[in-house]
Amino acid sequence: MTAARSGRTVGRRIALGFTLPLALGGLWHLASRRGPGGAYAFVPLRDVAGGFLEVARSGELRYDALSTLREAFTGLLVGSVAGVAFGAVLGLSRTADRLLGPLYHGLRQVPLMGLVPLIGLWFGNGAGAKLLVVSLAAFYPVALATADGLRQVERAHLELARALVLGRRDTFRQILLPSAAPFIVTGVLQALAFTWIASVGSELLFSATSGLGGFMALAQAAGRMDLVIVAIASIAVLGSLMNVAVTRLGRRAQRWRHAS
Amino acid sequence: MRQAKVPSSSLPPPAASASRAGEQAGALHIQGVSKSYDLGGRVLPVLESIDLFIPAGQFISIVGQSGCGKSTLLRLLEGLDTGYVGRITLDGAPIVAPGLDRGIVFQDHRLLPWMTLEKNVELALRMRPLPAARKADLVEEYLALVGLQGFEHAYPHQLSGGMAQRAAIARALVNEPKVLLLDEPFGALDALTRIRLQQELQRIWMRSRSTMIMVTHDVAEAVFLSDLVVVMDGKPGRIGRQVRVPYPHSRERGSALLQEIEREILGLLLDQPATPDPSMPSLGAPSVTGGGRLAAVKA
Amino acid sequence: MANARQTWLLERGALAVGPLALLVAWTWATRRPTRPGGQVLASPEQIFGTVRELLANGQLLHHLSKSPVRLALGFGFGAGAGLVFGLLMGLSRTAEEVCGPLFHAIRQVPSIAFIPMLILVFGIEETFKIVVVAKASFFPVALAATDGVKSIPRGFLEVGRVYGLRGPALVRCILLPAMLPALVTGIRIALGRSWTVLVAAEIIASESGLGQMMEMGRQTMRQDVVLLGVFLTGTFGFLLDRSMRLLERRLAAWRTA
Repeated sequence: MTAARSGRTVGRRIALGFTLPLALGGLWHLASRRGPGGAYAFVPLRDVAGGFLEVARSGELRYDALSTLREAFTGLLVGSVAGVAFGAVLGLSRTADRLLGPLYHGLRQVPLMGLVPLIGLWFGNGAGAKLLVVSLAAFYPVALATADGLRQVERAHLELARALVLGRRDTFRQILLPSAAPFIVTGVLQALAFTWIASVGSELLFSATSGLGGFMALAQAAGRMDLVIVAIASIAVLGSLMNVAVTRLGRRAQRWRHAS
Repeated sequence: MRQAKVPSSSLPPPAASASRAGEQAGALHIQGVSKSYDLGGRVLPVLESIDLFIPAGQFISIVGQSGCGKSTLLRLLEGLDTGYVGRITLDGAPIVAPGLDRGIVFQDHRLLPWMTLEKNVELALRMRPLPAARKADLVEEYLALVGLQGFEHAYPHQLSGGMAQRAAIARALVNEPKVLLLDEPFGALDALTRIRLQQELQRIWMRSRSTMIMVTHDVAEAVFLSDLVVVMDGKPGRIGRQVRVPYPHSRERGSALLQEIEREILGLLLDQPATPDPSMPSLGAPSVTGGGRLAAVKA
Repeated sequence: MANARQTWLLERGALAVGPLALLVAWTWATRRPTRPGGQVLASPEQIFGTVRELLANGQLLHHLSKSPVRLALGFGFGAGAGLVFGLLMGLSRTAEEVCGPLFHAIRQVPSIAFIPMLILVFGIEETFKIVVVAKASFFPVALAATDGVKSIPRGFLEVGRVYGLRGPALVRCILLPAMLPALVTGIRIALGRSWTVLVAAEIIASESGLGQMMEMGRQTMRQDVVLLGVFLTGTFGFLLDRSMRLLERRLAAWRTA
């Protein structure tokens, strides 16, 4: 492929990438013109834009977005700390792994949102309950990553520790932890996506009134499809941005790992 | 005479209306074929002005160093790659795409792992409008030909490399193609299996007498099996010498006559004149003269 | 080899210790006199009682029959469409360039976030649940199909060309079998996500189903019902996941060595 040809290809790709959305957008526009039901189901794009400006200007959108973000990150923090602790126990002690492992895996089988009624029953509907759900979303993957990371420490390094007669503490600090660290970091970064989704989901299921999920639920109750679409777009955009950031950071972590 | 050099255009090309006597014609005519690859601006020539005529029913080997384009040439003969300058015809008809009149055996057997041997061989017949019973018979016949009767229901991962390659040969032959192409078919196998399969291949060829064209690194293998060994050289690939092996089949591996020719070819490949081994007893053939003559020609 | 067998039994036994210990602790904890403020945790016997009760009044079967059916329908549509779409995107560069950006854009939206919008469009009947399950199934399967097709070794595709296989024959004999291991992984992921989103949808707006059963239990302060629901939901999800993993392992032999 000559340089000239690949240049044409990039431009072509971008152009092609827009054809489908534009075509669908056109169809949507036509559908929203059709009869009374049309504008209800296929909200005119103009209205969506109007709705967006409405909530953007009033600061409502920003407030709700920040609220969900805050929940997601707090949950990530809490869940990761708990996850690292639990994962360390599982990864370091085979007995603990045998005893607690099945319980952990069993609990993991229940879809997180399926635990919401139970958590609601025990802890009510408040911020605490939501935090618990979001933290769980981070807990599972981080615990797994920590346990796996600790278990995969190279035999060669472990034997070195034994040869140097390092105590348990030193072995942990000097060898196990640095070796497992990239896995843990990757696990935490990936957990962010889960906590983001869990935040939105728990807002929906707990009938919250704040956060992007709450905003969306209110808009749905009021029959405002345009705002619902604005909410969906915001969730998607913020989610993608975080994904991109995570991937970049993740690559840095990997480079680190290969350098060691 | 034993080591008569065959210049590339000494044999008359077939008449324009090549007669397709019976099913087993299979004469290949390669004229002025050149091919190059375009790698982001750089042009990499792979084959240059290949002229070769392969009469029907012969076993030809193509040997040469790595990268001389011999596998590429085989792929052109199969029709897997196009985009070349020149003309390739099979019995007068140009080759533009793969067809069932040619069979090919790859170095990696490429048996489909999710099918039994039986199904794998049958796959070759899928596009043929034959009744199912006939297809079953053909599959059975060719599996037996390569010595795999009883393994019809085995999966490829259950077989050794040699057995898998034999199955690949059966698959390539089941359509009774005019030409069988083999691309380093035994390269991935261990030495003993290789020898055994070479003997199998000789036996199969003697039975079917279809044109067979084999690309190989192994000069001994080439000399053992072929009527003609084409030596390719250079990057890009060009036809160098063509060495006849005028001994009747079946042949003995390691016979002194074959070893002479081997030495000659190796000499061509290593770009040194072939020197006869003075310790070899004369077997009624002017070995010394042959070597000397070759050395003189080479220079 | 008595020793090997003993070890095997011991391993299996050790695995059961944890859950058993939990069960014992649970039973013991719930035997203690009720704390002021009501029960925190329902006891195992109570759960059994609940099962009997719900079986008797037909509710359990009602809920149990609704959720899996919705899953099957939504998954059928979503995965089927995903397979076709993924094949198309994998085989045709142009299709990928045209559909890719929109595909990935919608994929980024968590399925659960579509629920309010779907409720506005379809109401709270069966349709919106099936559609949301279809969305959750579509993307992992499509992705798996695209990746699966693209990673088919060129050698196999050439075998197809050599023997003149085209169209349906090519798909049946070469493309689908070669993609199958990747597809099964995609299906496993799709089932997991679909089950999650279905339970969530049933909690939000439904008249039946395991999700709704749990939500009702929460609203009527019936711990036992909620716990039963949790258990059933988890078990069903586990069975789905397990069976797919078994299938994946079986197919591993098909993967090119």
